[in-house]
Amino acid sequence: MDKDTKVQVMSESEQMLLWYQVNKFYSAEARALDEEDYVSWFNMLAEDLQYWMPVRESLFRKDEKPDSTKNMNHYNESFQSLQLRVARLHSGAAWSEDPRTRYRHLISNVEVEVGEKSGELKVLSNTLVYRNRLEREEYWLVAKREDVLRQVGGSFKVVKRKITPDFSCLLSKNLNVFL
Amino acid sequence: MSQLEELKRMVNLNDGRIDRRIFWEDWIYQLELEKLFAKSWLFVAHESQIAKPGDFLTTYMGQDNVIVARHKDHTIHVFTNSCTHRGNRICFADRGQARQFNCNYHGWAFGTDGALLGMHEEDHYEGHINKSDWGLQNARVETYKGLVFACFDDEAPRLEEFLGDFRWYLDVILDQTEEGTEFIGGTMKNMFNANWKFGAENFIGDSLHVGWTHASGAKAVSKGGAVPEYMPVDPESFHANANGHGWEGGVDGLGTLALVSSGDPTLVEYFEKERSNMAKRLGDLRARKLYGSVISATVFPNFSFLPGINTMRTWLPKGPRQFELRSWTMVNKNMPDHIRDIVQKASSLTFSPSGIFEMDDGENWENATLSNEGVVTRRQSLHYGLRVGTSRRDDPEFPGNISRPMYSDVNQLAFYQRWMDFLTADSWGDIPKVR
Repeated sequence: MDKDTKVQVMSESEQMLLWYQVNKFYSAEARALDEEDYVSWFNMLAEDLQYWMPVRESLFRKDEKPDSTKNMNHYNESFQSLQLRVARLHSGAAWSEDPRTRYRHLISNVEVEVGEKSGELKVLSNTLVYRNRLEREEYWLVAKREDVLRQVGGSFKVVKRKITPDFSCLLSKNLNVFL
Repeated sequence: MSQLEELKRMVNLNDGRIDRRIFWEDWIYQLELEKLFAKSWLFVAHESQIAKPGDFLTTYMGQDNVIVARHKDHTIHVFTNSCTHRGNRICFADRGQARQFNCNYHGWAFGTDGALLGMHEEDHYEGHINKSDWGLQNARVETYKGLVFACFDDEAPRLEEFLGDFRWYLDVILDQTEEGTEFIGGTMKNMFNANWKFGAENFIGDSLHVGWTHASGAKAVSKGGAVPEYMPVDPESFHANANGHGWEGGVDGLGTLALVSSGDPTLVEYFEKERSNMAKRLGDLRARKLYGSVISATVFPNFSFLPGINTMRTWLPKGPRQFELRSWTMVNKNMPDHIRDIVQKASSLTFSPSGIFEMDDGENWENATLSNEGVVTRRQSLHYGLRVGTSRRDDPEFPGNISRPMYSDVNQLAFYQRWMDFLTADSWGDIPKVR
């Protein structure tokens, strides 16, 4: 049975329920990231996670190629390497995060499809991340997210996330946030 | 007092004092563009980025946008990216493949050597244009072991002379193997609201910031352990500078490799096996004691790198209070895929905009720049006096001007001395060839 057929056999109310559950999961994830609640965040990630954010470039259309992890990446992470990155913030010595950065993650345009493996979903979403810091520092990040979510208990875990940013030049001094 | 006299007093090499205005004033920034960036050799590309005829990329020399292209005869050309008809940019892509560049405005076409080839509806000119007079401005181009440099000044010395004794240090990363090096694909770009010199001077000699600024990253990689375990405190660590270029680092051969390994022995084991081959090319001192140590370096004026972490980067000025950082990861061409992957991930984890070390640098540089908006603040000079005057040129081990240990302002002052050489010179004839 191909994927389209699978979605078609779900009733409209089943599809709505799934969409509602995924949105609820994303809202909770966004709140965890806004509040730097990484204990909750890591509970939402699978231990075999692939978390990838390639660098974008401005290329002539004829020169465009599919993204590859072999090129420069903002993130190309496992569950463990993400924990290492978070450990920096929790070291008590991240001077440049004190006072804290004010984060806001807004997730929208959620589209849910049945995944390639049973118990998995393929989800597209857009994310807009707002950062405000100190007196007047303000940065907006806009990106597409392509997730694979695994259904676990009554909720989900992120198994794969590809973040495709809409910037080629990051307009700020760092990328101190997960998307 | 003339502006030039005023400028000369802004860097005091004997006392190690620097006037904050060099990080703030528009007139000094304009002098930098004219007298430094338009005169100096500047890094523009790695040869691997433009390997085949027709390959090109766009970058900046100062604030001049340039195209770096491999011509059909395999020579590399670097020329201004601005049409000679109305001045529009002729190429808007970061990189790619092109036989020629067509201006979007009136269809003027330029070759990969910058020559004007023709234009849309050329008949209107009825032969009254000499196309050979209207090509793009070409820079001089020379390469050093894979790195491509360009220069807009005909009087500048050859690249080898410009690099001088610093070539001995560059070889530590460029000449480890017969096959040479390459950049992995793509370019990381990000913006800082800071003066470009803060990036360059940090990489040329600022060991002192590592233990404090990067305490958070160090604690993360050492799992909360002593901070920073990998930094050499030994008195043999050193600053080396030559012609304004500088290298600072340890001699234990291990600090950086241990740092980027995060407990995985694969990378250290790989280089332990490679060191005997490296030693045949570089000698024991460079292959066993330098490579792998904690090291950072800057090629004057704005190209920096970290051997071992292998981030290569250029600080592109965008005004006195803004620069763009472009960075790449460099690998040896003969590295197996799993080693390449470790180097690439380590470089992203530590020194990239999201890296656990680099993330803390930007805030320092931005606020070291922006606090100078206060006129009273700006009046107070800055302390660059750590171990000032301790460098010697006749070191038995290392070429260039050497000072030990690596915790000093010696290289930073050598950088600002060279900067002043350029800013106060009318032409290359006034600039000392060796510093």
